[in-house]
Amino acid sequence: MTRVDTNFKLVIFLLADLARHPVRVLLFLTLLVSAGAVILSAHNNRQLSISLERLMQEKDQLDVQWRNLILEQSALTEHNRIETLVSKQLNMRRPEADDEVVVKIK
Amino acid sequence: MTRPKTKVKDDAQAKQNTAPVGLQWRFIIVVGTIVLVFVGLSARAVYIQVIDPDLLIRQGDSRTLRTQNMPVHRGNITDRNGQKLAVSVPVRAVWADPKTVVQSGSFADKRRWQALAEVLGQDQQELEARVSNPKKRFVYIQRQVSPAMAEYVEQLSISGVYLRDESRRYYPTGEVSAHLVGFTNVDDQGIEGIEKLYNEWLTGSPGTRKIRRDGKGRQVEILSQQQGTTPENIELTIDQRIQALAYKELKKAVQYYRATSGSAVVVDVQNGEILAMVNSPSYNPNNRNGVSPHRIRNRAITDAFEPGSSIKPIAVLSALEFGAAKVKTIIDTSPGWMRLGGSMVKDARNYGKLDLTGIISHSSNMGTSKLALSVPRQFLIEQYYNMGLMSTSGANLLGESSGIFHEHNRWSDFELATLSFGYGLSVTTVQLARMYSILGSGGIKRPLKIVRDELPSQEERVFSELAAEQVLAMMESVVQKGGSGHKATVAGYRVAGKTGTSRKAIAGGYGEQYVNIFAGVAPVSDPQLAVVVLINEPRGDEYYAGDTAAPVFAKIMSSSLQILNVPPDDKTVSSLTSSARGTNAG
Repeated sequence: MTRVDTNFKLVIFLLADLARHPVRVLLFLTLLVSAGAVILSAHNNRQLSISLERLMQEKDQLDVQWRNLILEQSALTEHNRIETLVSKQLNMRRPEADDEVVVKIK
Repeated sequence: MTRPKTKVKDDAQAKQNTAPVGLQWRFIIVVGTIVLVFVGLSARAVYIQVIDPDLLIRQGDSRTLRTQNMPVHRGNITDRNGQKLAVSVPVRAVWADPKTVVQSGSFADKRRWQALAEVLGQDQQELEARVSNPKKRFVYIQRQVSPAMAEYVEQLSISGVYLRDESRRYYPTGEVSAHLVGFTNVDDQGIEGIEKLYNEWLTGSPGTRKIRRDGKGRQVEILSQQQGTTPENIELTIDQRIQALAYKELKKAVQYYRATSGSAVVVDVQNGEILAMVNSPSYNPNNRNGVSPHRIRNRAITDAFEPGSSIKPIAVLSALEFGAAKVKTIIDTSPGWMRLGGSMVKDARNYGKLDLTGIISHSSNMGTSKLALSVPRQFLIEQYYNMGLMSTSGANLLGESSGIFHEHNRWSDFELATLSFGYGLSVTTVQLARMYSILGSGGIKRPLKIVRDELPSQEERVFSELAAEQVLAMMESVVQKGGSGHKATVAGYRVAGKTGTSRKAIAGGYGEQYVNIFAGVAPVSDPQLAVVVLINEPRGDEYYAGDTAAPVFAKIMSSSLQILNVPPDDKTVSSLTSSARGTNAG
């Protein structure tokens, strides 16, 4: 009977078989890893797209806010308005020629 | 495979089943059916995925693909210090698709329509009538709705009523810079002033993005992106501080002297930049309801007037430049009138013998006429061209007039004489401002600028620096005590200017209406600013430029010089007295 050397231990048999083709095993493992990486990067891409959209919406909102704020600022700092306000509330006035002091730097 | 079956059966049965033909047949049927099913499935799969995949791709895309427009707003217009003169703010437009409105029966919910009509301030009946024609697919309900109102309309969620993004232009400076900046129409296109002139530059085109959304409506993939053109901003040479105070003074004057209109222009002599350009009456560009067109016109550039005495310096300058006269030359203007051709040239009274300074300060028509006739005709006419009175100012503004001037081949002496005291040609306020900026810059002619850029402007010397200085010195006498424009005095600064009171031409001669002009430059020792004030048809008791335009000039000039920190050059302010005062104060 020559069946004595037949190995019935499946795990050992499989491992031995695998060991005989290390390149293929490596390729197989690389394939698995790369498949995982594809999934991961696709997921990350989506997450980034989602946050990009959120950020762009935020940017638009801030832009709207900014536009309204500069409008408000321009209205509040309108030259004639400031001049009336300071002359009424702070008793300020334009300096006359007599008030001016010319400092000459040599 | 049939063996286990026969094993279970006893021998008698086994004998009967020696030939399992029926079983074989069934087996084939079963296998065949299963194979057929799988073949059918794969055929279908192949058909769907390979042969005709478009339908399902389309179906899938229509559920996930979206094209987004990225909002783009018109560029801002600012003054030279970055003060905003025009800003776009996003608003929404409410529109309806009448077909959807009618088909979905959204009229059934009267309360929502009532709320919509109320929030937009429209009549409910009218509103419903407008959207009840099912043949129409697009009707604007209201445009330029504020974001808060748009939110409310969105929450009403009436089927067939939608919102659209658009932007609205606001002008924070209101009527002060209205003429210059202009305005846009409801579609955000410039239709007046700078807004129209630089419409292309200010307008951008929206960029688009093709994106994929997941089931939750989140953007998961950007498929393609198309960059739009970003709108550009415009920086004007205007200084809004000067603009504001010039407008205030001009408006006050126009009301006080009950004038039809008024214009004022402030120009930086050194580079030809327009620092202020104002007109009265003005209008509110943010709300143009019921504004009559004459208020919208930028009179400083569109309306030409006979400039009167304000261009007398040209005659004197020509004589000096040609060498027909020296500063000290005495001209005899007596008896105060003379006949040229069949017509009369006369002064207000007999001034007797005058030197050139006297001619300018007394504004003697006789004097300028004699000076004008003392140089060759062609030379004289050329000076008017050199002063930019026959062309546009170079600022390239919308609707700018180049004045009225009739070029003759044969000039009569009388025509030349009238030209010398500012009749027989019409110029705009801006042209006059350019002429004075040429005088101020010592004879260097530059095109005026309204949009700020770093490009050096074309410069051209049109007469000698010496002649310009001499004429400025003569014009200083106008503003001094006893001169016709003494009300234009600016404390602390030496000012050179000239009044101009001209009668307005009507059909068949000159009428009783006047145009008052005061134009001048300051400080004389190193000219920085040229200011022209024009008051059109004052109906009050005062109608001489020395009484109406001169005081306005003084106020605009003094405040502008102060704002720009121009050092005073008049003797009244000296470092000596100020240092003495400084020690007292300190």
